[in-house]
Amino acid sequence: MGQVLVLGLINAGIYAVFALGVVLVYRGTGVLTFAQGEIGTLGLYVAYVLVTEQHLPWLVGAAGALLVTTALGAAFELLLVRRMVAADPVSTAVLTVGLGLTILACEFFFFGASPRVLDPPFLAASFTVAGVVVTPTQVAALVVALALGFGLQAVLRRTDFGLGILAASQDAAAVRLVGIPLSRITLVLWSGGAFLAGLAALLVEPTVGTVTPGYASELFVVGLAAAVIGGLTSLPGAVVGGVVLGIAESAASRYLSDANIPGLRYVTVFAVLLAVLLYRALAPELRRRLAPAPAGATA
Amino acid sequence: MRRRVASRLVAGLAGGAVLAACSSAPAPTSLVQDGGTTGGLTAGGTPVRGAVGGTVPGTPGGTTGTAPATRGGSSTGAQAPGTGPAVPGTTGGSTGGTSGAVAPARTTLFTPAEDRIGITPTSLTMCAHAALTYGQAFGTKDSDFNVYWQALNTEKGGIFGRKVSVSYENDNYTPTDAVKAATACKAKNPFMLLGGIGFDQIPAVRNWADANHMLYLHHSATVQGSQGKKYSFTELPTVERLGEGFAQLAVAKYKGKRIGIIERDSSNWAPGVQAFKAMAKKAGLTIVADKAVATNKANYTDELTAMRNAKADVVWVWLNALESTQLIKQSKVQQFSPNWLMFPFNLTSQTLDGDAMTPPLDGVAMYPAYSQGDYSGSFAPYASDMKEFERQYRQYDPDVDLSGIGGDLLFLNWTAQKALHVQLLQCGKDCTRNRFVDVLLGYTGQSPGKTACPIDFRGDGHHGSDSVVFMQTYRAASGKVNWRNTAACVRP
Amino acid sequence: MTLLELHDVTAGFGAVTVLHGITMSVAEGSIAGVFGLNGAGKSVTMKAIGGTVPARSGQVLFEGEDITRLSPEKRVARGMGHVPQGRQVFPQLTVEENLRLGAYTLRRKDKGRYGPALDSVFDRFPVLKQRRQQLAGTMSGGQQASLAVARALINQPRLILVDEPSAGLSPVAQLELREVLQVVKDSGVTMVLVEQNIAFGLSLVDTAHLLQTGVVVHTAPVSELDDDTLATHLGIGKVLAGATGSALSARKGSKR
Repeated sequence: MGQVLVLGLINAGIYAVFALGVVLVYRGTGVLTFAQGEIGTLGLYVAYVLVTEQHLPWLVGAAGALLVTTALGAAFELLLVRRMVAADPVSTAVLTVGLGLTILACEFFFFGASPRVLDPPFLAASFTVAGVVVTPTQVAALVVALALGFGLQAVLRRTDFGLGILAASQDAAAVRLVGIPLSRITLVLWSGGAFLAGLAALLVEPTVGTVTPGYASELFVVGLAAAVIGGLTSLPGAVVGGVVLGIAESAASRYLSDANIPGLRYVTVFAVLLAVLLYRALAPELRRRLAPAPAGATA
Repeated sequence: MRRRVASRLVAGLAGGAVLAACSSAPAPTSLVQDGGTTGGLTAGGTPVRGAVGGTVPGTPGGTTGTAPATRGGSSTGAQAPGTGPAVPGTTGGSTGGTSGAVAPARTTLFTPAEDRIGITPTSLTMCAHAALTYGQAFGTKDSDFNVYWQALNTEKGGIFGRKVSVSYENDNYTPTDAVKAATACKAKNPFMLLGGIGFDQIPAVRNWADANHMLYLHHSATVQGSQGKKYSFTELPTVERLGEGFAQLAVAKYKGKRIGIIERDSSNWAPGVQAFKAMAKKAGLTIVADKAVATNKANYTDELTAMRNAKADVVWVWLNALESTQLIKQSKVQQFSPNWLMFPFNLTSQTLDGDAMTPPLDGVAMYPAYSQGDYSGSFAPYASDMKEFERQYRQYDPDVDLSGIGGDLLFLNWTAQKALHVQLLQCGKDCTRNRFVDVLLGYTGQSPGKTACPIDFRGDGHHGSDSVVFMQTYRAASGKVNWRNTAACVRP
Repeated sequence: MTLLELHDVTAGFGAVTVLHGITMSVAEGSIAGVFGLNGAGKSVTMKAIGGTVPARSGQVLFEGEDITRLSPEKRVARGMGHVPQGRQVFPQLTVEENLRLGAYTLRRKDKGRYGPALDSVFDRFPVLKQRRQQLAGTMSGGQQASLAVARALINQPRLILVDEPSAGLSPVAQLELREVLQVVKDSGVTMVLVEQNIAFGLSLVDTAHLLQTGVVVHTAPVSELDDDTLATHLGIGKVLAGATGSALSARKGSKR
């Protein structure tokens, strides 16, 4: 039981960090970005070149990775998203799919399909909980997810521009009317989302062990589901979604594997997703029906 | 740069799945016109697929069914290389191969009009469907896969004066695209269609081949769906046979130990596990855990924990090379080091490096091991092939780094092509499609050459091999961790 | 002095041209009203002034400078403020946060000026002061309207564009709003007001610009307007003259 929890939290950290990037972009721009997994992987290749090939310290590699992913997010917004100002969010979402595929192709082109090893930092600091070896980066993933999920909003509120970002997710047009350049906000959001993608990948990679093109895609998909579970516009929700899915997955793996359900992992994810979405859709109606009738009204 | 090119080849070698189709061939010396080198090795052809979408390198996905006559109920383990019902130099091919008056072919599968498609006095054309997507992503030249033919054409003028050319069509790892690729191949009028790895694709193309009367030589696939197919042939063992092979290895080395299984969650892979379990039960092996995972799951902490909880001493990883690599790497982080059974590729051993030696990994395959420049020990029986392979690449494709992770894939590709060459020679100067089928059907348990495994088409006439190879990792003199054979031609 | 001028401005969306040459000017310290039926182009005129719809031809001059190519944000920085249609307060931010955002440009110029500006706004809108920590989305329509105006005012603009402020408000709220806008007018800020509700609008503005199919067909001080002129130039016929007439006489009667 304890093990299920530990394993679930390890999963949760991974999913939550991916989910946060998705939510950040979505609430500010209305666009669902599908490129998070691949952007992160690209960052890992940068880190690989710096750390494994150039023998620089891991932190330098991480900094390089984050620099490149953030720049990529900014370039994507400046060069492409901005041109699509008139387009609907769905079209832009499709554009992110294209971005992901382009990055994937570049990874194959420059690095090939063979796995690259990026040694994780601080391995010696691993410790065992409930019979599972937990690494520092796994803890960091969870801590970062919690900090960002529950704290980012408060941080944003402190600055005018940050407040503008929060406002943009509520009413983008009005933001322009108070004199804040919306284009700058979207630039920051896309860059920030890409930064989080890079961060997510850096925190996840030590758990996986090797870097290959597209390896983050499966993890990212579950992260996307976590974001949806969390409501897609809520940063804390993204974290909660990650935790829910992470624990559901490890619990299913532990207790249901004997049932020989094919595709158990995805069944679990979709079952949870379905349950949450159904609940959201039906809850108002349920509440209404279950509430006691107001005095004098007919039942 | 060399490393980069080689690593490109890894993915590009999905295209080299072509080779898969071919297997070792009897090489009666009287028929060998190229100077007498013996036929190639054991069933070749299992290229590693590149990253995404992880199909299995080297894992055919099928149910069993091959029932070569020689199959016994024994569950003994490996045989030493070269033993077996080997009779070098027997007259494998029953069709005439010499010039002059030729007896008509026994097979009448192809009409006279169909019989000579793709073969002229000066040329022999073949076409292969394979997952080239990732190979094309970095512009791998066809010639990287065709070095054998290039050397043959240049140095020996081809086969009986026919220049051999092989082209490739991308099947994208999907059944529908495989059929499209096969159709594209057919438009080029090839002598035969070669089927690269893909147990989802091959059944689709088998159907197509029957409808289109195409001679189809393919990689491992399910027996289901092959009944009644007249135009398809394979010389590679099936999924079930592989699963059973793993069980044989487990029995030979780890009897009495607790065995865990981490398998791909797919109906195409499950038959291998069923076969493993059947043999395990008969031999009294204890299976303590069995976890199924989705493709490219990436994070295997759950499964590793389950194995450890069950106190598994040995874990059989029934996943592709990339997944296996990740899994073992993660196991080190988890400080869990059982013995591992898996598909052996230098991609895995070289990436893991030291982690692949603590303990050494065990593998089961249907192709020979390769370690550049190492001709000793279990490489000795086929060292001459290795040297010839290296010489050809030095001459015709020098940018390739054979010592890297692509080397073993290129080698198994090459040996399969060499085997096909021998079979085409056996087909004779007046080779036609029917005669080629005669050649195949003429194999009744002979072993081609001293290191080849028996081929026997007497079962259903379309499945020719049930031999597997056992391997283990070792550190080569070059410093790299590669695989080497510990037993070849292991029969059921 | 003339604060705002439009010279022959055309604008539209895609293939559709809505403004076919708007020419008008607004004197400093006055309230200009833009009236017209649905589709006449009132809203687009507002957007052309504000910059969210770019002018295809013609000029927009603000304080004598050509701002035709400036983005809306830059126009705000130059001294324009907005009370948008539907108020558009930020619902999940508090009243105070809304105001802080309204003062974005002011704070960038000089943060020190924000404190006094906020105090001044709270003085003028005590309702907002009481509810400063309340989420804007939980307030009534009238309170939100006050907030929207305050949010525009706090930035100390020279010109405020007020877009259909009475829309969606109950009559009581409309009365409150009218007082609020009067306060704004009294403070000397120039306003351009677009209103569907002509009676409401005429009770506030000094000059009326009447729009029909994308052109200004008549401009006149309110004192010189009568029912017939209105009816003709708005194209509404004598039917509505009665409704507007009482507003006109009320204005004439209580001329300031």
